[in-house]
Amino acid sequence: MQIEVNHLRKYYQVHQKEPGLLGSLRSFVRRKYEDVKAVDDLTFGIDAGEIVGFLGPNGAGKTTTLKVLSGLLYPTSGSVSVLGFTPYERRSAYLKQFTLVMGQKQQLLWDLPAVETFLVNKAIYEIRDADFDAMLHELTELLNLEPLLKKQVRKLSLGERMKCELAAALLHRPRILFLDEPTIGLDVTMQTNIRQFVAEYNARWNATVILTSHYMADVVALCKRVIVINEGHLIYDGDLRALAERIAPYKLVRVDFAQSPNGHDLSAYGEVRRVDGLNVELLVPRDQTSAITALMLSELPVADLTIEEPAIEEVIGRVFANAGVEREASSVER
Amino acid sequence: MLKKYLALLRASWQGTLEYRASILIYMLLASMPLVSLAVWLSLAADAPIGNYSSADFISYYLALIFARHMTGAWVSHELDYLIRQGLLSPLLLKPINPIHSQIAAHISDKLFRLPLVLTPIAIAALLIPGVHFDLSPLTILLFLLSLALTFAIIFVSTYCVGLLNFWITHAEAVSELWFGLRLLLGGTLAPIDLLPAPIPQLSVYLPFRYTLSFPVEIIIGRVSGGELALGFAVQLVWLAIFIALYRLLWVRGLRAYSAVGA
Amino acid sequence: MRYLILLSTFYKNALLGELEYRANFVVNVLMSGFWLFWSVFGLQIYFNHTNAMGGWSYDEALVVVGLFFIGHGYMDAFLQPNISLIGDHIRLGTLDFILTKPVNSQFLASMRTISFWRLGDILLGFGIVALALARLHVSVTWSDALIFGLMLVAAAIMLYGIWMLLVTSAFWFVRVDNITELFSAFYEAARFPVSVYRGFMQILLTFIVPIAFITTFPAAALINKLEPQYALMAVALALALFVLSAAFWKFALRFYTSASS
Repeated sequence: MQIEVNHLRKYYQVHQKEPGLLGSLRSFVRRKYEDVKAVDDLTFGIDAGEIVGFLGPNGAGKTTTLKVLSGLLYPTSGSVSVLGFTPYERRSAYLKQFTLVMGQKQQLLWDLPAVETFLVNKAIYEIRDADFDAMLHELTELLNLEPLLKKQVRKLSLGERMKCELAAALLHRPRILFLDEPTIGLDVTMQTNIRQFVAEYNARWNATVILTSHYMADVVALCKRVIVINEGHLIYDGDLRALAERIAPYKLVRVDFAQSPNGHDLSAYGEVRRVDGLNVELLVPRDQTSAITALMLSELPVADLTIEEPAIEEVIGRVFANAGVEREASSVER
Repeated sequence: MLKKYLALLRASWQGTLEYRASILIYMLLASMPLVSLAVWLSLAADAPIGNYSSADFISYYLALIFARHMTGAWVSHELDYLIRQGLLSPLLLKPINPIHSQIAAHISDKLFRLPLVLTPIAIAALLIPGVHFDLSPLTILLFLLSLALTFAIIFVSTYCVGLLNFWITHAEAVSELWFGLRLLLGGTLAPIDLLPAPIPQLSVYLPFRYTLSFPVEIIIGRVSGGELALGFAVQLVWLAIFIALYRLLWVRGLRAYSAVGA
Repeated sequence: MRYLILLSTFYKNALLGELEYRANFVVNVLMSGFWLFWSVFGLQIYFNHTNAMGGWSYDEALVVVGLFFIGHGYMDAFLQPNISLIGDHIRLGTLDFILTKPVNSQFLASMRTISFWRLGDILLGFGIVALALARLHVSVTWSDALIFGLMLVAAAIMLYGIWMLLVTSAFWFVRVDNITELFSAFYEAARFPVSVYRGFMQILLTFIVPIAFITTFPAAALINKLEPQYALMAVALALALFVLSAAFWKFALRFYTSASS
């Protein structure tokens, strides 16, 4: 195991602000604090070369876990080991082997071309000239950076900036990538580009990737395995497909009717998802799919019928709905 | 309008409390004239300087520190920030001129400071021998009036400097210049009558005296009669000039601002 | 050696960045000129009414003004831009990038950039010192110059230590801009020889907020007014402040990594 996390706990205190004039006067005098359990008894292991998706609603503890893994946070209790190192000791030898990319924060120098940041990182990571040139060449090719390198960062679009952020973060050829919302705010094409790049990087250097994302498409495209966290607890760790089957024991049946099925109660066959003229979508229990579709074919004026897996985005959405409360995003994750 | 102001004040007051730590620091900052006082005290140790004894210097600077706290404005920084970050646009959509929320913020800041400044100054005035202020009701009234006018001049003029951000990228330098000249010629570095001739004579008509020194001169009882009346007249004229300037800059500035489509 | 390479990379970046905004240069020169005039004129005002200030003549006090400029330029050029960066890092959470780099985090955070044009103030300060010395007809011996140099280095380290102590408190207070302004306000007192201040204030400005060591004592070293024990004290104080600032930084990081989310 390259990454081992055992019974990790991370608690911290937050300042409670009371509303209103009286409230702010009161907290002027005395502030109240409350314990928040960001991560509560988390155990998992990750092998070299895996791409693992961290899923969970806002405030579930994803970012906190990533920060513990990258040594930014001391665990309250439990043990964490990455590449044999204890992250929070932040030894140089460890820091040189991973990278942290945060979609909402940037490290590029604002007023200068991205290549200047690359040179700074070259000096910081003590990358040899030959290695630097080779890596920069490869990254330039993979990310199509050529036209961006000489432009000032502030003149780049959000997506172009993210590409450069990734390049800056990968110049030292890290073995482990912690990607926190790397595609946030990007348009669909750019999201796809970034996704392909991460897959390519993983394949080429057998790098381990841990990814959090609000976009399920990222997770579906990249991660075979997912770890689902809610309120600091691990709810699921395993194959993404199996998760879909376990939490969404449904199939999606699309029916094109030859004529209007008036007079038939469609909800008798399954949950009606959408009715659009003669096209109807139904959710049907997975284990009864063949029986029900057979029934429909015989009883209804069906022109065409297809059976599909429901979109995984929707499935995951259901997990969190079932898991209960979505907590306030801002107060917990920073 | 009054209702709007009450709402603005309420909001500002909460903001003031939220940043209480910063305000305490700004309070220490505004007490910087203590350095000048210390120097004058060392010079006046043996014999009075001009017509200021040690006790006179202390009275002068205590009043000055109080006046400075009650009249300070930081609105040019605020405008610099709002204009550069493009945060002004949403404010322009509201049916109230943004200057009013700034005024409210300054008023609530003054209210917060008043007891914190007045207490130590009052204690110092009682404990240090020889310190005296002219505390007749009429003088206090005139002092408060000129203090209000002083604040108005500082506020409007700094607002004007802030509005320069519509056109130039270095309005902060202008603000620094205006601040530096006020320190030098407005009574902070030295009481104006200790400055070399012909500055004291010119000061009666220049704006600097009316951005700090004038109310201080009133409360320590150094200005009266015709000089007093002239002082108020000139102070009002300067306030009118700055208000006119504000109107001009605001109207033109908005035009420039919307022209670039920021 | 590695850290020197890093430093030169950082400063090269800073220069490239500053060349982007050419008007900054002109504005900085103008403002330096204004504050130079302000300081000399201000000193003149006091000396219109006296011929000695705390035992220092006008020209001697001018040496102090020169050192005030040197110190001010040093803070504006080397410290201030980094301090505001650290403040941003803490506020925006980008400190995480600093902490995950295989370089001493205090070095990386506090030496990241430089404000080139403010170096002009340092030159201006040395100009004032030279002018004042010429007017005083003082011939500076090699040993005086050496002690002066030592005092300057000590002063630079002291200022660094004090600023780092202040900015590190941003881990708790978040808004640092005004904490640093607080020190700037104290620094105003360094315009004048410390002997101007009396009683508690002199002790405060010598040992607690040791700005006497930044301007008065180095100036005194040049004009044979320095009592030698202060040179030793300067070195000790500089070391102490540096060690303290490093320890506090470590402590703050520990807080940051254990208390935040």
